[in-house]
Amino acid sequence: MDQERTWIARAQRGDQAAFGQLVRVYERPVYNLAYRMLGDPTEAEDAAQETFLRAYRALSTYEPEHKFVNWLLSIASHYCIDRLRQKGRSVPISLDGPLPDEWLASDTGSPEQQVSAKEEREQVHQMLEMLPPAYRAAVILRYWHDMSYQEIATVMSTSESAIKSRLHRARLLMARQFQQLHGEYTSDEGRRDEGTGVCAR
Amino acid sequence: MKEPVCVHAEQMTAWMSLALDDLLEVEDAKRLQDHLAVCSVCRSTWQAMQQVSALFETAPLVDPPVSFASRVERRLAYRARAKKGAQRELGKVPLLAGSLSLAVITLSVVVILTLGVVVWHWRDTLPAVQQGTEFIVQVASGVGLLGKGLSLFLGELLTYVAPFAFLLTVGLAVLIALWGWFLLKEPRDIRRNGVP
Repeated sequence: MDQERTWIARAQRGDQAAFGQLVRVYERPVYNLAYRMLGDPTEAEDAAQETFLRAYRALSTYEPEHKFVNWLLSIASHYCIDRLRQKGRSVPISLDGPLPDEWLASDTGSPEQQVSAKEEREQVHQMLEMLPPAYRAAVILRYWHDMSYQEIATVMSTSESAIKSRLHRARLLMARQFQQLHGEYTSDEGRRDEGTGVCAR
Repeated sequence: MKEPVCVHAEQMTAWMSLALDDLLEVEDAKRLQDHLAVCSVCRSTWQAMQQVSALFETAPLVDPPVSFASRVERRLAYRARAKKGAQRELGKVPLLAGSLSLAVITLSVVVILTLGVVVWHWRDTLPAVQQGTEFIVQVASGVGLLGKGLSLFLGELLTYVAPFAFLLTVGLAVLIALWGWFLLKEPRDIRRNGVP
Protein backbone atom coordinates (compact mmCIF):
# COMPACT_ATOMS: atom_id res chain seq x y z
CA MET A 1 0.00 0.00 0.00
CA ASP A 2 2.89 2.35 0.83
CA GLN A 3 4.47 1.42 -2.47
CA GLU A 4 1.20 2.26 -4.22
CA ARG A 5 1.03 5.66 -2.53
CA THR A 6 4.58 6.37 -3.59
CA TRP A 7 3.80 5.47 -7.19
CA ILE A 8 0.67 7.61 -7.14
CA ALA A 9 2.53 10.59 -5.70
CA ARG A 10 5.30 10.23 -8.28
CA ALA A 11 2.78 9.82 -11.11
CA GLN A 12 0.98 12.95 -9.94
CA ARG A 13 4.25 14.81 -10.43
CA GLY A 14 4.40 13.53 -14.02
CA ASP A 15 6.48 10.38 -13.56
CA GLN A 16 5.20 8.10 -16.32
CA ALA A 17 7.31 5.16 -15.18
CA ALA A 18 5.60 5.24 -11.78
CA PHE A 19 2.22 5.31 -13.50
CA GLY A 20 3.37 2.35 -15.59
CA GLN A 21 3.82 0.39 -12.36
CA LEU A 22 0.23 1.23 -11.39
CA VAL A 23 -0.94 0.06 -14.82
CA ARG A 24 0.81 -3.28 -14.31
CA VAL A 25 -0.80 -3.77 -10.91
CA TYR A 26 -4.34 -2.88 -11.98
CA GLU A 27 -4.47 -3.87 -15.67
CA ARG A 28 -6.31 -7.11 -14.87
CA PRO A 29 -9.35 -5.71 -13.00
CA VAL A 30 -9.69 -2.80 -15.44
CA TYR A 31 -9.43 -5.02 -18.52
CA ASN A 32 -11.81 -7.57 -17.02
CA LEU A 33 -14.44 -4.90 -16.36
CA ALA A 34 -14.09 -3.54 -19.89
CA TYR A 35 -14.24 -7.01 -21.40
CA ARG A 36 -17.31 -8.04 -19.42
CA MET A 37 -19.01 -4.75 -20.25
CA LEU A 38 -18.22 -4.62 -23.97
CA GLY A 39 -17.90 -8.32 -24.74
CA ASP A 40 -15.18 -7.91 -27.34
CA PRO A 41 -11.41 -8.26 -26.73
CA THR A 42 -10.40 -5.47 -29.09
CA GLU A 43 -12.96 -3.02 -27.76
CA ALA A 44 -12.06 -4.03 -24.22
CA GLU A 45 -8.37 -3.30 -24.76
CA ASP A 46 -9.18 0.05 -26.32
CA ALA A 47 -11.47 0.94 -23.40
CA ALA A 48 -8.97 -0.25 -20.79
CA GLN A 49 -6.19 1.80 -22.39
CA GLU A 50 -8.44 4.83 -22.53
CA THR A 51 -9.29 4.32 -18.86
CA PHE A 52 -5.63 4.48 -17.86
CA LEU A 53 -4.97 7.51 -20.07
CA ARG A 54 -7.93 9.33 -18.54
CA ALA A 55 -6.79 8.31 -15.08
CA TYR A 56 -3.32 9.72 -15.76
CA ARG A 57 -4.79 13.04 -16.89
CA ALA A 58 -7.12 13.19 -13.87
CA LEU A 59 -4.61 12.02 -11.25
CA SER A 60 -4.70 15.37 -9.50
CA THR A 61 -8.40 14.79 -8.70
CA TYR A 62 -7.80 11.39 -7.06
CA GLU A 63 -8.67 11.42 -3.36
CA PRO A 64 -6.42 9.08 -1.35
CA GLU A 65 -9.20 8.11 1.09
CA HIS A 66 -10.69 6.00 -1.72
CA LYS A 67 -9.14 2.78 -3.00
CA PHE A 68 -7.13 3.49 -6.14
CA VAL A 69 -8.50 0.41 -7.90
CA ASN A 70 -12.06 1.55 -7.21
CA TRP A 71 -11.24 4.96 -8.66
CA LEU A 72 -9.91 3.27 -11.81
CA LEU A 73 -12.95 1.01 -12.04
CA SER A 74 -15.19 4.04 -11.67
CA ILE A 75 -13.53 5.66 -14.69
CA ALA A 76 -13.72 2.38 -16.62
CA SER A 77 -17.39 1.70 -15.83
CA HIS A 78 -18.50 5.23 -16.72
CA TYR A 79 -16.50 5.08 -19.94
CA CYS A 80 -17.94 1.69 -20.95
CA ILE A 81 -21.50 2.74 -20.10
CA ASP A 82 -21.09 5.90 -22.19
CA ARG A 83 -19.65 3.88 -25.03
CA LEU A 84 -22.54 1.44 -24.98
CA ARG A 85 -25.07 4.25 -24.80
CA GLN A 86 -23.42 6.12 -27.66
CA LYS A 87 -23.84 3.07 -29.79
CA GLY A 88 -27.50 3.05 -28.80
CA ARG A 89 -27.46 -0.65 -28.31
CA SER A 90 -25.57 -3.34 -26.54
CA VAL A 91 -22.38 -4.36 -28.25
CA PRO A 92 -23.09 -7.75 -29.78
CA ILE A 93 -20.95 -10.44 -28.28
CA SER A 94 -19.49 -12.64 -30.94
CA LEU A 95 -19.70 -16.13 -29.60
CA ASP A 96 -18.14 -17.46 -32.77
CA GLY A 97 -15.20 -15.07 -32.69
CA PRO A 98 -11.87 -15.79 -31.03
CA LEU A 99 -11.88 -15.77 -27.26
CA PRO A 100 -8.94 -14.42 -25.30
CA ASP A 101 -6.06 -16.87 -25.15
CA GLU A 102 -5.94 -16.55 -21.39
CA TRP A 103 -9.39 -18.08 -21.15
CA LEU A 104 -8.55 -20.89 -23.46
CA ALA A 105 -5.30 -21.51 -21.62
CA SER A 106 -7.27 -22.06 -18.41
CA ASP A 107 -9.33 -24.79 -20.08
CA THR A 108 -7.40 -27.75 -18.79
CA GLY A 109 -9.04 -31.11 -18.54
CA SER A 110 -10.83 -33.46 -20.86
CA PRO A 111 -12.44 -32.33 -24.11
CA GLU A 112 -15.85 -32.73 -22.43
CA GLN A 113 -14.79 -30.43 -19.61
CA GLN A 114 -13.50 -27.89 -22.14
CA VAL A 115 -16.78 -27.98 -24.03
CA SER A 116 -18.64 -27.52 -20.76
CA ALA A 117 -16.42 -24.57 -19.79
CA LYS A 118 -16.99 -22.99 -23.18
CA GLU A 119 -20.75 -23.36 -22.79
CA GLU A 120 -20.57 -21.70 -19.40
CA ARG A 121 -18.59 -18.78 -20.82
CA GLU A 122 -21.13 -18.35 -23.56
CA GLN A 123 -23.95 -18.40 -21.03
CA VAL A 124 -22.22 -15.71 -18.97
CA HIS A 125 -21.86 -13.61 -22.12
CA GLN A 126 -25.47 -14.07 -23.08
CA MET A 127 -26.70 -13.16 -19.61
CA LEU A 128 -24.61 -9.99 -19.46
CA GLU A 129 -25.42 -8.97 -23.01
CA MET A 130 -29.13 -8.75 -22.33
CA LEU A 131 -28.70 -6.35 -19.41
CA PRO A 132 -28.86 -2.55 -19.74
CA PRO A 133 -25.34 -1.03 -19.33
CA ALA A 134 -25.89 0.32 -15.80
CA TYR A 135 -27.26 -3.03 -14.57
CA ARG A 136 -24.40 -4.85 -16.27
CA ALA A 137 -21.79 -2.71 -14.53
CA ALA A 138 -23.39 -3.33 -11.13
CA VAL A 139 -23.42 -7.10 -11.70
CA ILE A 140 -19.79 -7.16 -12.87
CA LEU A 141 -18.58 -5.11 -9.91
CA ARG A 142 -20.51 -7.34 -7.52
CA TYR A 143 -19.44 -10.72 -8.89
CA TRP A 144 -15.96 -10.19 -10.33
CA HIS A 145 -14.69 -7.38 -8.16
CA ASP A 146 -16.38 -8.49 -4.96
CA MET A 147 -17.58 -5.01 -4.06
CA SER A 148 -20.14 -4.15 -1.41
CA TYR A 149 -23.29 -2.25 -2.37
CA GLN A 150 -21.74 0.87 -0.87
CA GLU A 151 -18.58 0.51 -2.93
CA ILE A 152 -20.52 -0.11 -6.14
CA ALA A 153 -22.66 2.96 -5.39
CA THR A 154 -19.52 5.08 -4.96
CA VAL A 155 -17.93 3.71 -8.11
CA MET A 156 -21.09 4.29 -10.15
CA SER A 157 -21.86 7.67 -8.54
CA THR A 158 -25.29 6.64 -7.33
CA SER A 159 -27.08 5.57 -4.14
CA GLU A 160 -26.90 2.24 -2.34
CA SER A 161 -30.65 1.72 -2.79
CA ALA A 162 -30.25 2.24 -6.56
CA ILE A 163 -27.60 -0.47 -6.63
CA LYS A 164 -29.82 -2.78 -4.59
CA SER A 165 -32.60 -2.21 -7.10
CA ARG A 166 -30.33 -2.66 -10.13
CA LEU A 167 -28.95 -5.95 -8.83
CA HIS A 168 -32.45 -7.17 -8.08
CA ARG A 169 -33.72 -6.25 -11.55
CA ALA A 170 -30.62 -7.65 -13.25
CA ARG A 171 -30.86 -10.96 -11.40
CA LEU A 172 -34.53 -11.24 -12.20
CA LEU A 173 -33.90 -10.58 -15.89
CA MET A 174 -31.09 -13.12 -15.98
CA ALA A 175 -33.16 -15.71 -14.12
CA ARG A 176 -35.96 -15.30 -16.66
CA GLN A 177 -33.44 -15.68 -19.47
CA PHE A 178 -31.96 -18.75 -17.79
CA GLN A 179 -35.43 -20.28 -17.38
CA GLN A 180 -36.20 -19.68 -21.04
CA LEU A 181 -32.91 -21.21 -22.12
CA HIS A 182 -33.47 -24.26 -19.94
CA GLY A 183 -37.19 -24.62 -20.59
CA GLU A 184 -38.38 -23.88 -17.07
CA TYR A 185 -42.06 -23.30 -16.28
CA THR A 186 -42.76 -26.45 -18.18
CA SER A 187 -41.68 -28.62 -15.29
CA ASP A 188 -44.21 -30.66 -13.34
CA GLU A 189 -43.82 -28.25 -10.43
CA GLY A 190 -44.80 -25.34 -12.65
CA ARG A 191 -47.89 -27.16 -13.84
CA ARG A 192 -49.26 -27.59 -10.33
CA ASP A 193 -50.38 -23.96 -10.39
CA GLU A 194 -52.11 -24.29 -13.71
CA GLY A 195 -55.50 -24.55 -12.07
CA THR A 196 -55.65 -20.87 -11.17
CA GLY A 197 -52.39 -19.71 -12.80
CA VAL A 198 -51.88 -17.44 -9.78
CA CYS A 199 -50.01 -18.05 -6.55
CA ALA A 200 -51.23 -15.84 -3.71
CA ARG A 201 -49.85 -17.77 -0.76
CA MET B 1 -50.68 -22.82 -21.69
CA LYS B 2 -51.04 -19.99 -19.22
CA GLU B 3 -47.79 -19.06 -17.47
CA PRO B 4 -48.23 -19.23 -13.69
CA VAL B 5 -47.66 -16.03 -11.73
CA CYS B 6 -47.15 -15.10 -8.09
CA VAL B 7 -48.59 -11.93 -6.58
CA HIS B 8 -45.69 -11.80 -4.08
CA ALA B 9 -43.01 -12.19 -6.74
CA GLU B 10 -41.75 -8.59 -6.53
CA GLN B 11 -41.07 -8.77 -2.80
CA MET B 12 -39.79 -12.33 -2.91
CA THR B 13 -37.34 -11.74 -5.76
CA ALA B 14 -36.01 -8.64 -3.98
CA TRP B 15 -35.36 -10.83 -0.92
CA MET B 16 -33.78 -13.49 -3.13
CA SER B 17 -31.33 -10.93 -4.50
CA LEU B 18 -30.38 -9.85 -0.98
CA ALA B 19 -30.12 -13.49 0.12
CA LEU B 20 -27.59 -14.16 -2.65
CA ASP B 21 -25.42 -11.41 -1.17
CA ASP B 22 -25.97 -12.64 2.43
CA LEU B 23 -27.72 -9.38 3.25
CA LEU B 24 -31.20 -10.68 4.02
CA GLU B 25 -32.48 -10.20 7.56
CA VAL B 26 -33.14 -13.42 9.50
CA GLU B 27 -36.90 -12.79 9.73
CA ASP B 28 -37.20 -12.03 6.03
CA ALA B 29 -35.13 -15.11 5.23
CA LYS B 30 -37.63 -17.19 7.22
CA ARG B 31 -40.55 -15.62 5.34
CA LEU B 32 -38.84 -16.31 2.05
CA GLN B 33 -38.25 -19.94 2.98
CA ASP B 34 -41.87 -20.34 4.05
CA HIS B 35 -43.05 -18.86 0.78
CA LEU B 36 -40.71 -20.98 -1.32
CA ALA B 37 -42.07 -24.09 0.38
CA VAL B 38 -45.53 -23.41 -1.06
CA CYS B 39 -44.91 -21.41 -4.29
CA SER B 40 -43.47 -23.27 -7.25
CA VAL B 41 -43.23 -20.11 -9.35
CA CYS B 42 -40.90 -18.38 -6.90
CA ARG B 43 -39.08 -21.63 -6.23
CA SER B 44 -38.31 -21.91 -9.92
CA THR B 45 -37.11 -18.29 -10.04
CA TRP B 46 -34.98 -18.83 -6.92
CA GLN B 47 -33.34 -21.91 -8.44
CA ALA B 48 -32.60 -20.00 -11.66
CA MET B 49 -31.16 -17.05 -9.71
CA GLN B 50 -28.95 -19.39 -7.71
CA GLN B 51 -27.72 -21.13 -10.85
CA VAL B 52 -26.92 -17.85 -12.62
CA SER B 53 -25.17 -16.63 -9.49
CA ALA B 54 -23.11 -19.82 -9.29
CA LEU B 55 -22.24 -19.44 -12.96
CA PHE B 56 -20.91 -15.94 -12.37
CA GLU B 57 -19.07 -16.85 -9.19
CA THR B 58 -17.06 -19.50 -11.01
CA ALA B 59 -16.27 -17.34 -14.04
CA PRO B 60 -12.67 -16.10 -13.76
CA LEU B 61 -11.26 -12.62 -14.19
CA VAL B 62 -10.11 -12.13 -17.76
CA ASP B 63 -6.45 -11.25 -18.21
CA PRO B 64 -5.44 -8.45 -20.57
CA PRO B 65 -3.28 -9.27 -23.59
CA VAL B 66 0.45 -9.60 -23.03
CA SER B 67 2.28 -6.25 -23.18
CA PHE B 68 -0.91 -4.31 -22.47
CA ALA B 69 0.90 -2.13 -19.92
CA SER B 70 3.72 -1.40 -22.37
CA ARG B 71 1.20 -0.23 -24.95
CA VAL B 72 -0.40 2.11 -22.41
CA GLU B 73 3.04 3.50 -21.54
CA ARG B 74 3.85 4.07 -25.21
CA ARG B 75 0.56 5.90 -25.70
CA LEU B 76 1.28 8.06 -22.67
CA ALA B 77 4.74 8.90 -24.01
CA TYR B 78 3.30 9.62 -27.45
CA ARG B 79 0.70 11.97 -26.00
CA ALA B 80 3.32 13.76 -23.95
CA ARG B 81 5.47 14.24 -27.04
CA ALA B 82 2.49 15.38 -29.13
CA LYS B 83 1.52 17.86 -26.40
CA LYS B 84 5.03 19.26 -26.23
CA GLY B 85 5.16 19.46 -30.05
CA ALA B 86 1.85 21.31 -30.18
CA GLN B 87 3.01 23.70 -27.47
CA ARG B 88 6.23 24.31 -29.41
CA GLU B 89 4.30 24.98 -32.62
CA LEU B 90 1.84 27.27 -30.85
CA GLY B 91 4.74 29.04 -29.17
CA LYS B 92 6.12 29.95 -32.60
CA VAL B 93 2.99 31.91 -33.57
CA PRO B 94 3.51 34.89 -31.22
CA LEU B 95 7.23 34.89 -32.03
CA LEU B 96 6.53 35.06 -35.75
CA ALA B 97 3.80 37.69 -35.33
CA GLY B 98 6.09 39.80 -33.12
CA SER B 99 8.99 39.57 -35.58
CA LEU B 100 6.80 40.52 -38.53
CA SER B 101 5.28 43.46 -36.68
CA LEU B 102 8.74 44.73 -35.71
CA ALA B 103 9.96 44.36 -39.28
CA VAL B 104 6.97 46.27 -40.70
CA ILE B 105 7.33 49.07 -38.14
CA THR B 106 11.07 49.38 -38.78
CA LEU B 107 10.59 49.43 -42.54
CA SER B 108 7.84 52.05 -42.25
CA VAL B 109 10.03 54.28 -40.11
CA VAL B 110 12.92 53.96 -42.58
CA VAL B 111 10.68 54.77 -45.57
CA ILE B 112 9.07 57.75 -43.83
CA LEU B 113 12.42 59.14 -42.71
CA THR B 114 13.91 58.71 -46.20
CA LEU B 115 10.93 60.41 -47.81
CA GLY B 116 11.11 63.21 -45.23
CA VAL B 117 14.79 63.82 -45.99
CA VAL B 118 14.12 63.80 -49.75
CA VAL B 119 11.25 66.27 -49.41
CA TRP B 120 13.18 68.52 -47.02
CA HIS B 121 16.17 68.79 -49.39
CA TRP B 122 14.62 68.94 -52.85
CA ARG B 123 11.03 70.16 -52.41
CA ASP B 124 11.74 73.71 -53.60
CA THR B 125 14.26 72.81 -56.28
CA LEU B 126 12.88 69.73 -58.01
CA PRO B 127 9.35 69.95 -59.47
CA ALA B 128 9.06 66.17 -59.40
CA VAL B 129 9.49 66.12 -55.62
CA GLN B 130 7.00 68.95 -55.27
CA GLN B 131 4.45 67.10 -57.38
CA GLY B 132 5.16 63.89 -55.50
CA THR B 133 4.63 65.63 -52.16
CA GLU B 134 1.34 67.06 -53.26
CA PHE B 135 0.28 63.70 -54.57
CA ILE B 136 1.10 62.01 -51.26
CA VAL B 137 -0.80 64.68 -49.34
CA GLN B 138 -3.82 64.13 -51.59
CA VAL B 139 -3.59 60.34 -51.23
CA ALA B 140 -3.28 60.63 -47.45
CA SER B 141 -6.27 62.93 -47.36
CA GLY B 142 -8.24 60.54 -49.57
CA VAL B 143 -7.27 57.55 -47.44
CA GLY B 144 -8.27 59.50 -44.35
CA LEU B 145 -11.67 60.28 -45.81
CA LEU B 146 -12.10 56.72 -46.98
CA GLY B 147 -11.21 55.42 -43.50
CA LYS B 148 -13.67 57.81 -41.89
CA GLY B 149 -16.40 56.73 -44.30
CA LEU B 150 -15.63 53.08 -43.74
CA SER B 151 -15.70 53.57 -39.99
CA LEU B 152 -19.13 55.25 -40.17
CA PHE B 153 -20.40 52.51 -42.47
CA LEU B 154 -19.19 49.73 -40.17
CA GLY B 155 -20.65 51.48 -37.16
CA GLU B 156 -24.06 51.64 -38.82
CA LEU B 157 -23.72 48.09 -40.07
CA LEU B 158 -22.86 46.72 -36.65
CA THR B 159 -25.93 48.39 -35.15
CA TYR B 160 -28.13 46.27 -37.37
CA VAL B 161 -26.12 43.11 -37.87
CA ALA B 162 -24.41 42.74 -34.49
CA PRO B 163 -26.18 39.41 -33.71
CA PHE B 164 -25.21 38.02 -37.10
CA ALA B 165 -21.65 39.23 -36.66
CA PHE B 166 -21.57 37.58 -33.25
CA LEU B 167 -22.85 34.30 -34.68
CA LEU B 168 -20.33 34.50 -37.50
CA THR B 169 -17.52 35.01 -35.01
CA VAL B 170 -18.69 32.07 -32.89
CA GLY B 171 -19.00 29.92 -36.00
CA LEU B 172 -15.48 30.81 -37.07
CA ALA B 173 -14.17 30.06 -33.57
CA VAL B 174 -15.87 26.65 -33.61
CA LEU B 175 -14.44 25.91 -37.06
CA ILE B 176 -10.95 26.88 -35.91
CA ALA B 177 -11.34 24.75 -32.78
CA LEU B 178 -12.51 21.77 -34.84
CA TRP B 179 -9.61 22.14 -37.23
CA GLY B 180 -7.25 22.38 -34.28
CA TRP B 181 -8.73 19.24 -32.75
CA PHE B 182 -8.57 17.44 -36.07
CA LEU B 183 -4.93 18.34 -36.61
CA LEU B 184 -3.78 17.69 -33.06
CA LYS B 185 -5.82 14.60 -32.18
CA GLU B 186 -4.02 11.37 -31.72
CA PRO B 187 -4.09 9.08 -34.73
CA ARG B 188 -6.33 6.11 -34.01
CA ASP B 189 -3.73 3.62 -35.19
CA ILE B 190 -1.55 4.10 -32.16
CA ARG B 191 -4.29 2.70 -29.91
CA ARG B 192 -3.59 -0.67 -31.39
CA ASN B 193 0.18 -0.59 -31.23
CA GLY B 194 0.97 2.18 -28.80
CA VAL B 195 3.04 3.95 -31.47
CA PRO B 196 2.11 5.64 -34.76
